Amino acid sequence: MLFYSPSFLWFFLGVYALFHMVPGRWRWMVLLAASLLFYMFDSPFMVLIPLVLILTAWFGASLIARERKPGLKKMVFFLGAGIILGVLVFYKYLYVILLSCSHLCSALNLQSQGSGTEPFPWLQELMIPLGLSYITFQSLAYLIEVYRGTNPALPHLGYFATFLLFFPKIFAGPVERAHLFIPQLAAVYQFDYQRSTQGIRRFCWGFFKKTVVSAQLLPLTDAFFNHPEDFSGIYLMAAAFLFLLQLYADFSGYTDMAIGLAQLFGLKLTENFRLPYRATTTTELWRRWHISLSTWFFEYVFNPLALSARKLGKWAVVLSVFVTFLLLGLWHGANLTFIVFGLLQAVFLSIEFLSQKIRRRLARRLPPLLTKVTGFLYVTVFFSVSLVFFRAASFEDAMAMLQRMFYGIPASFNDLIGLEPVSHYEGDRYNVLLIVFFIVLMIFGDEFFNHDNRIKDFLARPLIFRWMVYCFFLVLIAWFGVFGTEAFIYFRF
Amino acid sequence: MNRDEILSDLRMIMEDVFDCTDFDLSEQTTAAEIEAWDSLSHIRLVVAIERHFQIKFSSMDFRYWNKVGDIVTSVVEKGTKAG
Repeated sequence: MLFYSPSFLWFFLGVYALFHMVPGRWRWMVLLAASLLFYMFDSPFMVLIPLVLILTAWFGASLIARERKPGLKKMVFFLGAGIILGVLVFYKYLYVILLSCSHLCSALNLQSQGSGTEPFPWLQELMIPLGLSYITFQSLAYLIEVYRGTNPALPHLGYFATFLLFFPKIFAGPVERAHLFIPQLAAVYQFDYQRSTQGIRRFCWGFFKKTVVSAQLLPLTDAFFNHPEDFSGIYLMAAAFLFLLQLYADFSGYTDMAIGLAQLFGLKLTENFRLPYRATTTTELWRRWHISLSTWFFEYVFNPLALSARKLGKWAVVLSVFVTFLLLGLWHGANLTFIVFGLLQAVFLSIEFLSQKIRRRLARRLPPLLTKVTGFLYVTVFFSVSLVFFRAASFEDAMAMLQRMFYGIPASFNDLIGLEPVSHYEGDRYNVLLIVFFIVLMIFGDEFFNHDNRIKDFLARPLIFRWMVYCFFLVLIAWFGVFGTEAFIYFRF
Repeated sequence: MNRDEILSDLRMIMEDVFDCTDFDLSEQTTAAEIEAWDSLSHIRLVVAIERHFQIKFSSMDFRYWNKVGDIVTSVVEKGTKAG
């Protein structure tokens, strides 16, 4: 059930009404039942997998907290973490691991199950439970926190299940922390008009980003990415940049909707994006892009690794960056393209780390505006190019696109001047100009939502002005919105 | 060493590690308030603190570092144990 489908509207209205009708102590039950229903709407039997993860993490953490002997604590922790990661590996990576082993055996002329035919067909057809990567990461973080002793085990299984299954965030995050989320569930809920209108505004803003900006960009980026052989360099460079914008509109749009929905139930979710286009280094970009996931990786992979290897000095950081971003790439899927995407981030982060002092000294001698513009261009070009691997169906496709991208720049400049119609794209040049307009609107809107003072100024304006703005966006959504069945890009992770 | 002296030494170490001087430092300061203090430079900072005070932090120490004051506390504890 997608947030912008009519069925979701009815589902949400029902849940919202029920949430406000039942006594306070039952409200979490409404959210839990709604979340289970929401999950089962798409995959009725798959809900068993998140339930197994919930029980494993909750019972595991309770046992760890109760156990006094360090050896037993450790054993329970590794058993719990093993089950959680085992489920993730089974659904997401086992096929590729077995396939690679099979190919390796074939290459070494050893007897293999896969020789001649496609091996493990049943595993290939296995459906990955929705939101699996998010659920495993949140339950794993909870188990680690309790094992480390930084946070206590939570006594309420119902709250814990609601935390992991909470329907606005279940399929694509943000990656929440149990100890920040559950106290909100346990707190007394009181209807707050300001918070509720904020939630509706935030949801509608995400709705605009997904159904207008991302959906309008989709056929354009598809035209380029599905037929790179028909385009020359400058078009493909533009395509990579447009995909960056599409991914941002899609994913941050989803996050805005999730945050807005949670606000309507009095719950605050973590911000996942903080104006990433303002980043002037890759290091800064990862502090602004998919924040909840990068924070998870830095806290549970990078920091322990780098701190334990700190004898190696700066090389401990470089090594840990490579391991962290290799895993971050793999988190998206067992595909060479995601590995390359992760490793590219690691290469640039390491270069930035090793050249930190030189860059800072150089920046002091240059005008600040020049430093910012150069930094912006560098991050935009680098991240767009790395996203070619993220978007491409295969490594070969990505390489073919990149080769073409840097091959045909001079030849295609005339095409750009002439504004030739884009082949494989049904829209005309006015559609493209409209998309540019939507992108500009999106950036202005995000700047607005990231400054409390601007929101306050807006709310202080006359009612008629505010409603004119709302109506303007509603008309844009009604006119240009695409309400197809295209799911959010991050739903597949 | 008392807490103020440790804080003063920390400032000196941070200026060297972060290669900047334009930041305010108190026991309440967090990493988010110093632009150059990110996850990557944090490791260099830990190594520099250990070297300067000739101490060795354990993995448990890092878990409770939320602000500069927590680092000062760790240094005080390690110093006491060492001395």
